[in-house]
Amino acid sequence: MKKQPLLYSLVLILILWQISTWIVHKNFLPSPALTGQYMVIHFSLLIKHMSVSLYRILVAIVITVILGSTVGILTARSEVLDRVVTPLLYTLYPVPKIAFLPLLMLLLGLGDASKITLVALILFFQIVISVRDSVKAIHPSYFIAIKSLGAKSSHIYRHVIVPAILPALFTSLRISVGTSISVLFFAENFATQYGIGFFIMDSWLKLDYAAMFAGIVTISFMGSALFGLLDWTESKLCRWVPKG
Amino acid sequence: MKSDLVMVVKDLSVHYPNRSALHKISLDIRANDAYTVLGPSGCGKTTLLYAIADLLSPKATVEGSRIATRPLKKSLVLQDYGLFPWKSVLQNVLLPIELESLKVENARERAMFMLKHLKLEAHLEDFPSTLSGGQKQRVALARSWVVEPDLLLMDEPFSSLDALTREQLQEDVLSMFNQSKMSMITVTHSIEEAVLLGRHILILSDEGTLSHVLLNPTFNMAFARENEAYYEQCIEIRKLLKEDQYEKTAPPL
Repeated sequence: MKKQPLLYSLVLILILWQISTWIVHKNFLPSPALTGQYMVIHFSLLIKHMSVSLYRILVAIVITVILGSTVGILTARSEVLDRVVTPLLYTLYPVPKIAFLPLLMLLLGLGDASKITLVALILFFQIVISVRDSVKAIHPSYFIAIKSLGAKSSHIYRHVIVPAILPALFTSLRISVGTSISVLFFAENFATQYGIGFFIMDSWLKLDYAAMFAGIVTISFMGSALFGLLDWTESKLCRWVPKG
Repeated sequence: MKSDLVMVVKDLSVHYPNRSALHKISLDIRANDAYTVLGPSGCGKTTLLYAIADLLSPKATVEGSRIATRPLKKSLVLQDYGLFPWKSVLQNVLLPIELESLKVENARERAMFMLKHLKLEAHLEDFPSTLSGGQKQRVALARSWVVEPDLLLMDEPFSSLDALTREQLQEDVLSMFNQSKMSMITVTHSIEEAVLLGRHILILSDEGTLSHVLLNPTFNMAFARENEAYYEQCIEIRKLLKEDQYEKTAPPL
């Protein structure tokens, strides 16, 4: 991310926040300074909660990238599988996955597994559809070119399909990470005492608004860090994509 | 010039669900020999090349045979270069060697030799999107030559390039042909290119049949473009192509 525009955005947000504090003038909207003070004093606590949330999302991303990409690639490469899987995808995709949380907790318990699975479900459909479409969009000349070099099937996956889908995969991840954080925030309100979602709601219930806003700022940093990580990973894995 | 056969194509016909592409093509491909294929658009030139390269679509129905007399290493150069945008120039050129699992040290040396020969050594880490058309085609040629193919197949390799770049690459191809033992088959729309790159010039008709096979005495002639015999050969081929077209369009008597 470019540093100067980011700095300007942060400064603008802080200014608007401070102006809102003056206008609203209620204790449930603490000032940036008060929130910042809380964050400094309770830095390690916030990091602990953020780490748990980050762990849940990253595990969900890794599992979904592997599973979702595999299903997407196989669906695109096989007409039979496409006819079976695609209607299922289109039927299940619009269903709000949050509704599955109680079922997941019954099946997988009250620990991280149910929360990670919920986030993974959100990401899965995005990635499968995005990967499937990008495989189908690979120009046939690439397959002809690699076969003309004597490639076997495994070579085609390694040298053509996987690299070709990477830009679309990263785009899909960027789109779905925002929703995933929101869903995780919701899921961390059930049967857990760790995670930034839990921290925010717990602070609200205790009427500790400085802590609540500290949690909100932390979740925002976490999201930014995730986007930054995705951008960095894409810059390493997709060096051929023109920047800007 | 060795005269042993590397491939025999006999009564080759290729049909697709909605059309017929080739009809009873027979051809003997000899070692270290050069063939060019000419004909109107849609007559099956590329289909013939893909049939020889074993790259036909599964939807194609093939009759007849194409039998290699020994295991053949084939390389194909495509009209749109066939370079992988996600691989650098060096990675693209090394790819066929990687696929054959040859030893890395030898592979790199051969790739570097080809890239230096084709004046690409300054672009090793560049990606194809940053190269000009001529540079891309040189990379494609380097990739096809690096495995020292027995049979080089080229599908209108220079059609999208400017005249001077095209002429330079034609010289490069002839130079490599003369330094190697490979056979080459070039599909082209250009009569001049066909005469330059083919000792045997095959003319396909609109119906996908082999209407003429000419022996080109000007092939590999030094300074061909400055030689009258070269242009006479071009004129002869032009006449044959026009006759084929006239026979097709002339009203019945």
